[in-house]
Amino acid sequence: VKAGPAFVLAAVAALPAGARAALGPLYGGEATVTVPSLPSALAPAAPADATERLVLGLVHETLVRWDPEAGTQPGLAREWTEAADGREQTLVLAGDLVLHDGRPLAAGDAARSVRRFLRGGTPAARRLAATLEGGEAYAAGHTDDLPGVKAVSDLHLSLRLRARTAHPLAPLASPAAAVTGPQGAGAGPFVPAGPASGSLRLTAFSGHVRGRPLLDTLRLVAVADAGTRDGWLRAGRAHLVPGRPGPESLCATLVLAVDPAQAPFDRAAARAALSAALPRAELVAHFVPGGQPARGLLPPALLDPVAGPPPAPGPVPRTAVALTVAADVPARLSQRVVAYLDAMGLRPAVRVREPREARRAGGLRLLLLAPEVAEGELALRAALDLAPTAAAADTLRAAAAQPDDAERRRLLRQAEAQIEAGHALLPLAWVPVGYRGDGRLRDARVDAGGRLVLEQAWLRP
Amino acid sequence: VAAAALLCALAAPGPRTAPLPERALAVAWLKPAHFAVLFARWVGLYRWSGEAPALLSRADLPCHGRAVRWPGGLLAAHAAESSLWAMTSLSTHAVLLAADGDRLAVREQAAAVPWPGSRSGLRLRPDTSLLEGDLEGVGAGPFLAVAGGDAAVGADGRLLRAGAAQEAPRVGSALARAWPGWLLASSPAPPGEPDGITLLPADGPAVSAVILPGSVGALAARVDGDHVVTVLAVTEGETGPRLWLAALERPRP
Repeated sequence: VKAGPAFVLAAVAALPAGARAALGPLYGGEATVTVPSLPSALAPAAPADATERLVLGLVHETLVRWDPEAGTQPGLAREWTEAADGREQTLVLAGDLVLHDGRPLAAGDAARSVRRFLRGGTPAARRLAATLEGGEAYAAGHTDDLPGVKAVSDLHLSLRLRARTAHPLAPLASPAAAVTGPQGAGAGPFVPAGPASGSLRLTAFSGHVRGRPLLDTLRLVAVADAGTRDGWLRAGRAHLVPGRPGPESLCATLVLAVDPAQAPFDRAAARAALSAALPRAELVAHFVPGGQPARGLLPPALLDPVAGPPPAPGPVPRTAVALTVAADVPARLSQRVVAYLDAMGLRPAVRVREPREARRAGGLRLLLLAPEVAEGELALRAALDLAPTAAAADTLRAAAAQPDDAERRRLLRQAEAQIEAGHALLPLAWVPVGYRGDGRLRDARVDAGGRLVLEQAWLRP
Repeated sequence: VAAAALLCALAAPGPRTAPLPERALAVAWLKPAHFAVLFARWVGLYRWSGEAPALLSRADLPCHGRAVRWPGGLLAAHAAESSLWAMTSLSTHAVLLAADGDRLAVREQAAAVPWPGSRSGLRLRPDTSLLEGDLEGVGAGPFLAVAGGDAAVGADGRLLRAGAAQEAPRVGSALARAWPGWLLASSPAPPGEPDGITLLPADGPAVSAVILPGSVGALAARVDGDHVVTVLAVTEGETGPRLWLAALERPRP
């Protein structure tokens, strides 16, 4: 170099062209994801399975998001402040927000959506209702007054709480709490096109709070058979299908729910014997790739597991039982559990039902539980719905009021142990929720709640 | 010219900055010892005096309030006038900035960045990092990057050159002109791996000149005889990008 400051020149031999490097992320293109089925409605709800979680996360956006490591994160609300010793929370919406239908999104939409959420009755909604001024009476439909929720300007939503509460905004990260417009329009990263048989086409939403997604369009195609879905991937017709290896998160728990009101498992000893007889390690080793034998109701990402005393072995009643299997439990997994029960002499009569219906069924139920919000207390509240325990409910109330994180975690572990002690909800395996791709779609990820996140995903040319 | 017979020279390791606070969208030489760095909301004027480049001044761009997930930008430097046009995905206008001594001052605004070979200039497609605008002999875009009036990187990562006869090679999204007929480009693999700078003659095969420990997000080159002096925005791992200075010697048969 003749001019300018000198620096050392070192000769190097020419190298073959095509060194690895940096092209991307890139805007544009259409990606296809096959899923077992598509939800019949796109309105905000607590997702019943991984596909609902995916679709609702594409179409809708919440005021805040929850990260198990970092806690409450901005969503449509860019920040929040607290006053009155934590009893008043004011969320500040990001500026210039719009809904899919082009209307401006204001705090009034957020307030109306919180009201809808509270009446939905999900575990997260009930937690919020219990903490808001007037929340429980409103949620129960006793009144339309809700003094705890108020849009104080277009950008400010005020929440007034009955008492200081740990992580008071976490319930608002539920997909059921997503903000919609008066006509139901969402504000998620993708805009759904009209309904089409067996597939859902979504286009990038330029007004999304974190910016337009990188993909132009996204196509979700319902393909019921897993082998056929794999065929789509092999043929290059799909970029992602449920499976592994690929982006995944160990976030679901396979549980056997036992109705303690029904014989022969109305005796705690019988339930404990059933729990003790289930070969969790063998089940996982052969039928849950990427999974772990469950050492608690919640996967480790939500709550550090602490091994409790093993259930007492004993004779399992030899009788006919009804077993309801949720449709999102992989078939070979449910078949193996049925084989185990059969080998114990239980003679299960199996019926497969949609996940929501399966949870409401009586008798034995084989369910795949993923959290409404990936937060320990809220996830345990969902478990408590399946196995109500007064002691655990009291402990969860104490955890909700506990400001110290370490003590709160101790209480959550105690509540988990109290639920498990009743042997009405038997955790069998921690199961990954994952998606397999062919390498063309980059930067897809699965969050701690089991949601496939595609807003950052892009197609490699 | 056979690739295997080419030699080039690299300044290694050249001066480099500490990690920058955010991603650099573009870089451009303004004077022999001054260059500009474009960020999403501002332009920085840097001086290189043998040590690590130092930030002299900054000029904020007029920005809208919408979020852009992966912003892009364009710098068009006019070294003879010590001025440059700047535009990003977040800016509302293209802005003409002049380097007055060590300071950057806003001189003018326009709807698009005036660009050689483009009648209406270039601009950012709304809410994306893609460049739009007719580029004579090259096409209408969208482009990932442009270099002069006759070369660009298409949205599919292929190098587009006016009058090119051979199949368009894949390159990365950083592109700059070197000696007449020669281009410099980052290489086309996705982020997360070591990057490289490839020399692309008008005819003949490309030559990989430099392997770098991170991804090249932006690239500028200034010809100085048989050398080009480059500024590279290189991102290693999770830290912000560093500005690297490196000189390449013209390949010899």
